[in-house]
Amino acid sequence: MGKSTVRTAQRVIQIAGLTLFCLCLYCEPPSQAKAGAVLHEHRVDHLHRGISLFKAGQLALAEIEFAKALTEKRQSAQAYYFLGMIAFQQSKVEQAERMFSRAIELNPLYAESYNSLGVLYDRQDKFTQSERAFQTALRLKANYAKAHFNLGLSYRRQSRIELAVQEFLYVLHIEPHHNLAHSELSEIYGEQKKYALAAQHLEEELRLSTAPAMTHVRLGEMYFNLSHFHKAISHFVAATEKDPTLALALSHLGYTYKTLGEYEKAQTYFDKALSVDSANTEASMNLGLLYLDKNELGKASRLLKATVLLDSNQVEALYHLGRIYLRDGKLAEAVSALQAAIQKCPNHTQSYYQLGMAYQELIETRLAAENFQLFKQFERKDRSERKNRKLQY
Amino acid sequence: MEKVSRLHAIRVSESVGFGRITFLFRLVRSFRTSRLASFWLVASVWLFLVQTVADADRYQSPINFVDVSAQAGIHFTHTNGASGEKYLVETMGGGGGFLDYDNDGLLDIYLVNGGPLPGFKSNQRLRNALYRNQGDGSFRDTTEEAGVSGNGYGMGTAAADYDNDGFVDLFVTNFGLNTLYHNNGNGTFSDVTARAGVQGDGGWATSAGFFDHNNDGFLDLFVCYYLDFDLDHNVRCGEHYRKGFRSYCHPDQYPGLSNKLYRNNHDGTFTDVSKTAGIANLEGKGLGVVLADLDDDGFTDIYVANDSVANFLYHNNGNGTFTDVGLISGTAYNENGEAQAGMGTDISDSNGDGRPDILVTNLDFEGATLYQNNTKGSFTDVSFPSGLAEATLRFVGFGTRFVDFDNDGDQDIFIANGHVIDNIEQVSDTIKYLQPKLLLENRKGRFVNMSKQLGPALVSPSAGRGLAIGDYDNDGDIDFLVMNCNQPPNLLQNQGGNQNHWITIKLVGLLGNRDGIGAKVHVVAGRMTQRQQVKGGMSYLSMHDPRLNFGLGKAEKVDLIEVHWPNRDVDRVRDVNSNQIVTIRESQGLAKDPREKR
Repeated sequence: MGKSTVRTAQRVIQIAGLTLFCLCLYCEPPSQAKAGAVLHEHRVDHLHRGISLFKAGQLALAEIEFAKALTEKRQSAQAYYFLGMIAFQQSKVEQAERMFSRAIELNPLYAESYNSLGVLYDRQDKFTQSERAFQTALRLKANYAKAHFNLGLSYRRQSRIELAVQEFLYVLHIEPHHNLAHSELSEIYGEQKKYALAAQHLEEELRLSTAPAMTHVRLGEMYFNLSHFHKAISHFVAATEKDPTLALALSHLGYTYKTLGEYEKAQTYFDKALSVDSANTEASMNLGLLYLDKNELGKASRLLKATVLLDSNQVEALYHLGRIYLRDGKLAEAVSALQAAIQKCPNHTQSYYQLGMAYQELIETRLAAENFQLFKQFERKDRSERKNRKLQY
Repeated sequence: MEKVSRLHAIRVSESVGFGRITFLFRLVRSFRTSRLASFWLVASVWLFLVQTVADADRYQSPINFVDVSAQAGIHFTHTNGASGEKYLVETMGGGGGFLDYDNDGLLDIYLVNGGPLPGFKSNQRLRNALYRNQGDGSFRDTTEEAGVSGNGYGMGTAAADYDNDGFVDLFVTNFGLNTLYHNNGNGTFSDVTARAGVQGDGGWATSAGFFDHNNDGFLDLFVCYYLDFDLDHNVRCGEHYRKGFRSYCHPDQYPGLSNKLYRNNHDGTFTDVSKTAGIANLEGKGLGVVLADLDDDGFTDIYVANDSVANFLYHNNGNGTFTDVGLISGTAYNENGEAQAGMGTDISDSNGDGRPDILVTNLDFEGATLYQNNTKGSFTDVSFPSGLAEATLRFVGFGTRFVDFDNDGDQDIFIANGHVIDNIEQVSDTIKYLQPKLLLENRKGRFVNMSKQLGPALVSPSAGRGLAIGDYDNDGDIDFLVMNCNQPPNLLQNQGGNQNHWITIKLVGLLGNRDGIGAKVHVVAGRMTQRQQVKGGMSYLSMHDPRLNFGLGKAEKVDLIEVHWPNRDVDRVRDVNSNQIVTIRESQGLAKDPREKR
């Protein structure tokens, strides 16, 4: 064998070895390739399985699946996101924050992570951070209704009502059937005494879904405030048809009929409300007031006393009890009840008036004058607030 | 025609009832002995009872109110001059009432009109109207010949003989300068406003009344002022309800104006003594006023119904000054300590205890308010216990009077209703703009709505504002004149209210003011004692029959009429026959007044 042959053989072996090396690089050995394929398949399964379990509310099992997904070599922003959601639901705030932050590190373009982080910060009253997170989510994902909604909720918690309204309205612009946005807007408008707008949104809520009885009650309240008493009655009735044990609806029916001067019907509904729920303070108080209007002071007094026993913070009940005592000539008791009302609510205008009248009867001139003065002060303030609403006659 | 047919209907039903009894008697006699007889007897009795009950259900009150405006020749329509800008003044008028301007013993009618507001498109000349009572149920328009067509945007009226010359003069309040017409005694009037000094300062005047505040024998003038409202700064309201919705603003939007008291100088002129008298108060938004002695101290007090702020009760201190005792007397607010809308007002003894009580009309869902006079200068709000609040809850009440419409000796209540917001039905499914009148019968201190039983004219809805009462046909029962906003008035003739006995008393003062305003009259007839006073103001934007009508029930004569004059003299007249109009002159007693016609 000559030197050339040896050299050729060396070259062949080199080339073969090189080829084999390359093959090893790019082709997994059969057993390893299969294992790799299985490994890849398991990673996909864990994540999706975890998502399914999460959606089904099986958080513990979902957590395991997401953890498994993460033990794979490839890190998954989604897995971290869902782990964050689980931690959030378990009130593990710091853990949730870590998970969401990690998800963002891995995928800074995943808007859902920012949205959830925003919610987390909001719950901790970290409003600047939450707003920043929501705004980022919105920059990343146009028309992200959920983020707009959550931002609206946050604004509402901060009493930045106009901004909250803007966000909820924008949600409806994106998704006109967003029930929760309608619900939030109806509450806000109700609080702002914009009853027509509140009613509009409640009507949408009813139209979009089989709303609970309370939605009918709230809509009835709005119509009552708008003096649409027949509509109010129809919604309170609808509420009682959905839930015959809803004492609030029965009580509201009583109050509406009382307002209309239909005292027999009013009494019937108040009695029904109390038979369903003897602790319903609205019904017991308003039935007491009905008896007061009829000058049946004994019955009125019993009901108002019962209301106060049920809820000692019921300022209105204390106030009206004071009225009854005053009408009945029980001046000391009147003073006591009215003072209790004022203690609970120092700007309860009418209590100062009645207290002034009581002290006048007791010939306590100085105390009468003091209370009348306070009454006039609060009365002016109430009138000024009314003026700002530019009410019609 | 209607009155005759109603009486006929009653007689027919009575005769049918008698016929049935006769039939039954014959039946019993003829069928004594048989079982069949028993059956028929029972059946007949049953049928008789059923029919009687049915008849009772169909039976209407014998009293009926009929709108006779058209047949009386009153062709007037109040025009509010609206243009769609919702100026609040558009919805608050109009007024008017009764006065006997030609001293013929018959009540004439004066009606106040609105005026053109910016944007109002019409060529029609808007003027007030004076209608002379012809004595035959008809009226003739004598506005131009009398010279009282008015100027500016009219609101209300007050009438009294302020110069004691024997002829009633006329004061017209305006949204703008007011007008005082002196009665020349020959069917004409002269505008003496500038000389008299009662034009005001161009603000929004509403109700007014004459009274003698210092008992000097001459009538002074009280004028209510409402809001500091000017057409160039009209606020837009209603949008809080619904975008694009517009309606009349709540009075909260505007500051109030001070009322005015003009003291009569005895020479045809007046002096504004508002500040020195203590009645100048910018917190008020006066709509209605009644001038009467509430505490029987011999001095006339002033009660002002204010809109959505505390009412005023100005107690006359007897020295030319007044003190507002509204709050401490319990008449400023309702029993719940709330200020109410306060439109019309009147005073009378509603419960027969001899003390005058105060009536105020309010907005819907507030109910009218009745303050019952206790002793010690305090009042109790009995609106609910008396049934008044319940009966009035759904209505917006304006003009109102206590009145004994059926002459049974107690004070009933009449209210002219009508909403303020002419497009209210766009915002409520329960409340209407046009509303029926309410006539509430006093049943031992409890007020019951009788409107439906007293004729369709009462339940016919309108935008009621002013209300005047008077016996324009001198038949002994009280008729009503309702003035409606932007509509014709209703002259409601009382037909049948004189079936009970009555007496109407006209007072002529000689030492005191000629109209006897401020005098108190006690009438005793059998077991019944009644007290009334000749008051100023009353109701809303209106003026009334100055005579006092007393219902006597079944009493055929009056045992005693006692007149307590403002100067504390007392005249007594005894044994007067009922069912007549009598005149009592100060210090002279009963006088036969040949001018009283029936």
